[in-house]
Amino acid sequence: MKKKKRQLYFLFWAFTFISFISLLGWYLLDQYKSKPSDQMGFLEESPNPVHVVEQKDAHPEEVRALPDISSEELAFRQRAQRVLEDFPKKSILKERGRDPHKPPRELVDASNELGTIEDLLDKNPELVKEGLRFYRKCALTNELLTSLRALCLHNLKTRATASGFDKRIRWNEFPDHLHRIADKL
Amino acid sequence: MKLGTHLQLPERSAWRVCGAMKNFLITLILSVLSLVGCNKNSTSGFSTKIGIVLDGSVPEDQRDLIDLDLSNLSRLNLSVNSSDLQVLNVNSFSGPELVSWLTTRVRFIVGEDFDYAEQASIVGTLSYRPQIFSSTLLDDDFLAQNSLVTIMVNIGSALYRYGKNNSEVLTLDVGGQRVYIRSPRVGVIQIGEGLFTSWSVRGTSKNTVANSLIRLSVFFHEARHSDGNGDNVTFPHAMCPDWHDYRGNYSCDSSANGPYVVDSIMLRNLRSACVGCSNTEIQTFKAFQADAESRLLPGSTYKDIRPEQIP
Repeated sequence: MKKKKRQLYFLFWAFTFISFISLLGWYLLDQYKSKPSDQMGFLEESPNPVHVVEQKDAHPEEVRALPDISSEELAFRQRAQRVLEDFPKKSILKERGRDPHKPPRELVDASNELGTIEDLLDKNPELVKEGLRFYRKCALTNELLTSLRALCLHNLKTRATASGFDKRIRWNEFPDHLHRIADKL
Repeated sequence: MKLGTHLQLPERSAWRVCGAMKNFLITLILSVLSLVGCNKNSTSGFSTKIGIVLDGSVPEDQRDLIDLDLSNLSRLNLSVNSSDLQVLNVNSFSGPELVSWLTTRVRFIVGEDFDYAEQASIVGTLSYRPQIFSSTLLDDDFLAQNSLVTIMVNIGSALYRYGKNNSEVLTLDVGGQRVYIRSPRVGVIQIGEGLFTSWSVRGTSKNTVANSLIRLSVFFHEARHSDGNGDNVTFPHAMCPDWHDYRGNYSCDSSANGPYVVDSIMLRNLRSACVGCSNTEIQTFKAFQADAESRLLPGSTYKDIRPEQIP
């Protein structure tokens, strides 16, 4: 009888301990997710990119319900994702019938998209982090035209400096030749 | 007799009238025939406000836009850094100075339909055999370009290289004049519809300030091809290396003062003159400039811009 009581006593404390650990873990994870990024590399993709993909076609009500991203930010992120997917790749330059001496017409189209992105960032300063994320991803995408990547890096530098985030970006993750071109613009 | 005489009078008068009409008709027919006989590469031309002659082959709408562009150029007054001045070898980026720089290198503008092969003639051979260079400016590369949508080509410098490589002196009938091609500075530039369409900011008309300034940058690029001597005559483009976006094409520069650098400098400075331009227009300026800058190869050096001349 005494042994059974001791077992129950042990189980009670074991359950309490496990519950405490679980609650603590859940709390810390939640804190990590909602904590504003203040480290180097804060522009990197969120740890759960599926989260974004799942919400790609979300209904506006669902979008508003997201705790860690505003509807404007999400709309911008979705637009940026589409723009990045449509940006011209280096491979287009191999197509026949192109004059290699002049920029491809797709670069003019991409400039149009970048102009719209710049308009959005001018009108909505709260989108700056999303804008910086977009420009960083664009500048790091090796498949894109070098000129376009360099322009994205230039825009990243300009926006980061204007918003005070320039000290928190790992500038050395971008190749030197991109920096050279971006700094000339 | 009198009657006859009298009768003859009207006949004579009629003949005289008929003769006058006949002369008029003959003149008219000959004029019409000559007009019909002329191909669309009319050699007539007219001078723009800054003295560049536009050949009759330039369509009227393009002529108006070019006139607008050159007028805009003459009104510019930009403050630039010293390295930019050094590349163009000018004292300032004032309108008159830029106009002078351009008109030294661009004297004629011809349209897309201008048949340079038909208008050019060989009028002599050189007494010496100049070194034949490896550039493909006029050869297959040049011909391949012409099958595409033309934006702008410096035909004068290409014909100069052709003549030099074949020890021939060429002439070109352009803008109502016969021009001897004895220097890369002959300055004949061909423009095409591409300059006004694919080269324009999306969703804007051809005559906006931004589009006008962007077109001017292309003129400055092509104008640099009117410079140089020896190995570097016409500032030919270099082969892009394997790691480059444009690999395998002669569309890079190994000259730190070559056409793409001139292009880049002009785009950056002309952008500053684009007051009130939209973000899209600014991004288009920057994208074109980034493209030009990306073509400058590492280790590029300054080349002598002085043009050579066949005596």
